[in-house]
Amino acid sequence: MSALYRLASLIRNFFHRSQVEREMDAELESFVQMLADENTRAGMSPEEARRAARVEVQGVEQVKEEARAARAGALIETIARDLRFGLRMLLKHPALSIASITTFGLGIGLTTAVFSIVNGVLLKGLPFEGSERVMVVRGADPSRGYRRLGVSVHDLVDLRGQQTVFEGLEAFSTARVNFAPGDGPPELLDGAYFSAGLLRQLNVRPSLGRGFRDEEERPGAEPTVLLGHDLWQDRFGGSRDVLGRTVLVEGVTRTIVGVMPPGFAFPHHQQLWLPLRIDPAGSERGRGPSHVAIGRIRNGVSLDQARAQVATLFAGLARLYPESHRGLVFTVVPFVQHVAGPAAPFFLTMFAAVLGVLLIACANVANLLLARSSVRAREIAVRTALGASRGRVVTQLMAEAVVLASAGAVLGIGLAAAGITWFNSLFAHEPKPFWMVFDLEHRVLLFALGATVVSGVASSLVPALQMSRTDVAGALKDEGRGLSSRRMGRFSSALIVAEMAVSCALLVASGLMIRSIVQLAVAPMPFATTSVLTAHVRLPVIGYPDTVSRGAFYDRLLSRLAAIPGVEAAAVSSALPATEHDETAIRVEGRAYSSIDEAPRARRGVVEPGYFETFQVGVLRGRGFDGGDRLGGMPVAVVNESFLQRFLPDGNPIGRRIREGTRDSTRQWLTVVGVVPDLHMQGMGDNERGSEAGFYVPLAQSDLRYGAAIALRVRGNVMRGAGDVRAAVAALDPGLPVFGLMPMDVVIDRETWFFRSLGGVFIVFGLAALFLAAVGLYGVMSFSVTARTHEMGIRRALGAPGHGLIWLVLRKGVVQLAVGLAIGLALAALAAGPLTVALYQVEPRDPLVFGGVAVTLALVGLVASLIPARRVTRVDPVEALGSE
Amino acid sequence: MAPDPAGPPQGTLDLLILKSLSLGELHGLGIAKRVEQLSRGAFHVRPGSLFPALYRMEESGWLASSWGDSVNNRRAKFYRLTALGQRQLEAEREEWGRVTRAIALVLGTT
Repeated sequence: MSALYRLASLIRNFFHRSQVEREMDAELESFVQMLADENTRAGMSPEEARRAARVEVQGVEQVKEEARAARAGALIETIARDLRFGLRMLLKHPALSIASITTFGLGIGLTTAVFSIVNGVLLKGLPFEGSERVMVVRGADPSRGYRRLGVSVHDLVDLRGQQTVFEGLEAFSTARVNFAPGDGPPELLDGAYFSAGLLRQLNVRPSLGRGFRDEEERPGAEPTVLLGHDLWQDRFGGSRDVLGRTVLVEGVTRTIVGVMPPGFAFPHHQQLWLPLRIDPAGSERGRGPSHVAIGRIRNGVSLDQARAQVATLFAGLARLYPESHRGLVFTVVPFVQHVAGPAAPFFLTMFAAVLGVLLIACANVANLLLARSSVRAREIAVRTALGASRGRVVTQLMAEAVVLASAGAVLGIGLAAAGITWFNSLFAHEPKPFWMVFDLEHRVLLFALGATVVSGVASSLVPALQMSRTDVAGALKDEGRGLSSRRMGRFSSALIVAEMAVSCALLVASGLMIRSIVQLAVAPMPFATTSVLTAHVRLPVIGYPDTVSRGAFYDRLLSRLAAIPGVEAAAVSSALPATEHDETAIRVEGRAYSSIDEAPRARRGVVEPGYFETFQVGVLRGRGFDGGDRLGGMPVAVVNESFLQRFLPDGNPIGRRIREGTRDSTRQWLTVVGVVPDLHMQGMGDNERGSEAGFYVPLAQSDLRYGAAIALRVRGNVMRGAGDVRAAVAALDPGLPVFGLMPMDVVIDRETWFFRSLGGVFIVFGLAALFLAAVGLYGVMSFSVTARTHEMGIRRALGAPGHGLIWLVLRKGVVQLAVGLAIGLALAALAAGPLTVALYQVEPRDPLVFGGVAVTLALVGLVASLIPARRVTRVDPVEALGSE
Repeated sequence: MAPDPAGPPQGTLDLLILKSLSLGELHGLGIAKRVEQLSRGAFHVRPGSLFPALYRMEESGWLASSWGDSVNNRRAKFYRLTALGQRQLEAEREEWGRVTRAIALVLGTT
């Protein structure tokens, strides 16, 4: 109750300050008057009476001051006054202020930029109302190592009938689809198949027309399509009569029934949507298609409850259908976690790293504030003598630091904006999910505000506490030596050591990134890249329903490609070198495997005989594929070196047999006929992800169901053949789009953009850390020299040599540097783990990087300390002895 | 010889002011005089302690003030207890009783 009264009073005191003041004056005056009256009545003369009354009150101003302090809202007034005073103080010491502001700016700016990224990836979520409740039901097979499985159509239908925790259970799958609107060239677009109620679960309605109907999920329904906003603008000019028109999608004529609002591209960057066919009768359990199951949980239902029900329902299904559910477990996760979960540790590590930069910035400012304290010792002493409490002095000093931090934050927001713009530009080629938005939204700005206040308070806390303990009498008598007090010196050292350690750790991270990028740029690929043109095609099921039709197409395509003038060699394959190939389980004949499920894995590529020649890859043993490897002939395979080392290490591999699948597999045995070098079948990803061992099978004995990569080695300018490639494909099938037409080295650039871009971010951190550390060292050394001018003057007068003095001043700094480096290197060695995902063929404990960082930091530290230290030799003894 | 009057002990001023006002409305000087009177000269409240306490207590809702005329026709600000203040007085009274009983117990068992 009293608290409410006080709050009301606080507001009144704030808005009616002058009225409150006048009332206080009047009351005190009235008090004095009445006391004087009494004194007069007691016999004193009027003047004596009045004087006695005033003595009793003992300083009207002081009473008023005490009264004011007791009033509600006094704290706010004090803070406002401190901030104004702080501003004046800062303008008096411009050099220090500028240094602190830039330091804060760098720290707060970088931290805010990275927070914006973390916000976009992990915190913001889908931009629809109620989207926190949108969940994905996903499966896992822990024994086989599968962690993100979909839900089969059979299970989906059963679940839809039984579940009660979701408002609706829907499904989707993404796919790249051929789109041919009739006028204009066909395109390959990112699309998705949606079940009928999915839009309702997302709480989104089309801006034009309608979504899908329930009957469109069943086979035999009229084929329809939903367009994305951009697609509607680009290909149909945004005209409103687009509804009812038809387009060819994947070879099927579909009617446009609706257009989605701008900015909608669920789930990632899809451009159009087709109805998902849910037809459990069309396939056997365990063999039918699987999709991502998604739904919004009901209001009031918790995630745990939903998980429990899903687990129970699936347990029931597993009892009914044990063979198709063996080893599977299902759970429910929020949509954002489903998509961004795997990347979370990396971004959080990045955030931790940038907090390190902020820490260094705060340490720097703390040192600068300490350095200034000797200058202000007398001011503080006077204020303390006049009655300022210690708390007030500390608050005053912290307010100044917050003002500095705020000015820095203004710079920092600008820096953050630039950083975010650059980061967004990285996604020009590799589109990111539409709901991951990196901008300076309210949550990010709030974070920046919080970081500013915390930085200001943190960097000034210890210096303020120290300064408030000033020896008042000593300072007033002009005796104090200021910063030579031992306590402050030790704290300053501790700060320097901490700065060096954190800088060192960040620099190691940067160094690893730099090395990784250099490796990428410098290490030659074991195959031709500069003179090879590549492209991709996808044969839709309509028109190419089986292996024979597909095989025929690729044969004809190959002969047309080979006929293009300037082409030296051509090939068709399942994937290009240095891109990720599918993995499959394999067995080697003659080896015993302990269990039915034990499955060594290897990569698999389907290639046409000219593949190795096109990429100028020499066969190491045996032979490549040739015309004799045909359907019906002996099934053959060619393995790469990693496969050889892992699976066929002893004896002659030629003639050994391998087979896809696990122990009960009925596939044919393949005879190994050759060995080729590793062509990065695992893609350019990190070292841990899957195996590098792989094998190839000839196209004639296999199939390219999911699309093919085309590669041509050309004489002269690579892109000159681009038009001819399109023409060759169009001659065979005019409605078939050709996509991804680019030289092989561009393909490799695209595959490695992740390393280079995110590596760039860490390099910026490292450089910022180095810069700040250097500035910090310079500042402290510079101040130390000034503080010891008196002492140095004496030494010079006594004839000490210049370099001896320099060493004297440097000595402590060198020790701090060394200790800081040692701690930093140890820290980096411990923490380098999570970075592996962004490193290309670089060990996280690479000695070259660690050594390089130690040397760089030591050199920079020495130089930053030496420059101010040299001033010591220019001290004029006479002036120094007289100075104070 | 009567001891020189001193300020009331730390933390008891609120209680003394509340009690003084329970007997009727008073202005600032009146409250100081009443406290000295009721304590038979033991406690002398200075304005430097009195006014901050009065403002604080008024802002907490325990006292209400209004300007009026004193007996000698001087303008003065008068304070009176509110219902909330009455309850606060009872509470502090009880608390004080508890504390003194406890201290008496401790001293009595030496």
